Amino acid sequence: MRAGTLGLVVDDKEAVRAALADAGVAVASSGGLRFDDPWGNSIEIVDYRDVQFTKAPAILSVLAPEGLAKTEAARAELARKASRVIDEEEHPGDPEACSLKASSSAVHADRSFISMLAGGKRQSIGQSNAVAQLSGHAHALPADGHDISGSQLAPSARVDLAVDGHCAVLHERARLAARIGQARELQQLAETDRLLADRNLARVRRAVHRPIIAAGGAALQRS
Amino acid sequence: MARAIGINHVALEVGNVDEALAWYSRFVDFELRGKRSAMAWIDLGDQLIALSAGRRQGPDEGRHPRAGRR
Repeated sequence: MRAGTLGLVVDDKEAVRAALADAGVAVASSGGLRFDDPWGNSIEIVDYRDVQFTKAPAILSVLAPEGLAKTEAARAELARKASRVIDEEEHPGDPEACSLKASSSAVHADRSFISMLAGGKRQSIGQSNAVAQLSGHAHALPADGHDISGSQLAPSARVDLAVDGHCAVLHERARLAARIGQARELQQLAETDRLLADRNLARVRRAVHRPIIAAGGAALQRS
Repeated sequence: MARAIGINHVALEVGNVDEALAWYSRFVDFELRGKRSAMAWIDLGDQLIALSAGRRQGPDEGRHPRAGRR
């Protein structure tokens, strides 16, 4: 039985390509980046920005404090997937329902992802920040409930995200809509499936952040 | 029936853990979550890669997916 290929996600695929080439490892000069390690493991390097694989915002803020934005194509794919999840829940057995709203949802989701992947450091005035609630890292994210200046507001933190009343619920259920007086959870789009199933953010916090909080070596399998 | 929803960790078999850590660290920056003589755990935030000593099988061949990678 052979070991399988591992697709390793990095924040800069081309930097890995250059390092591999410098070390004499045979790799393509562009496109897919695949190589075998000295022990026969087949590795493919994948750029985080290009793929749907998405880290939870608070995790990403630790791994890439400077922010790591998805490409437009990746964000569009993620947004379409989120819309499908919501449609299925709101209109079980009716795949056509609200499908026309996917494009507008995608636009908002794209903006949400820009905010989310910028490190989740933004929140709107007067709103609590779900990311902050989820984070166990006070240094990485603003404290819950702290107001920030308007210049720091993310494009997604608007009061009019639900562009169509008919499917406004989509945004609410996907945490895409940030409305005054509501906890802002739209940065959690990557966690849509989790949050749809469980609105208890405290439980999410425990599940998502325990590995980081426990960083230091002890807990290896607690995530 | 339970639904598969993600990956917590993947283990790679290598010849020697220390050599593998040294080799991979030439190309990618990573945090070591823990290490024993025959096993090391590379931290990926909420996931991990384990390097396990004692690989005996031949090299992987033709296992890269060409479609549906995402």
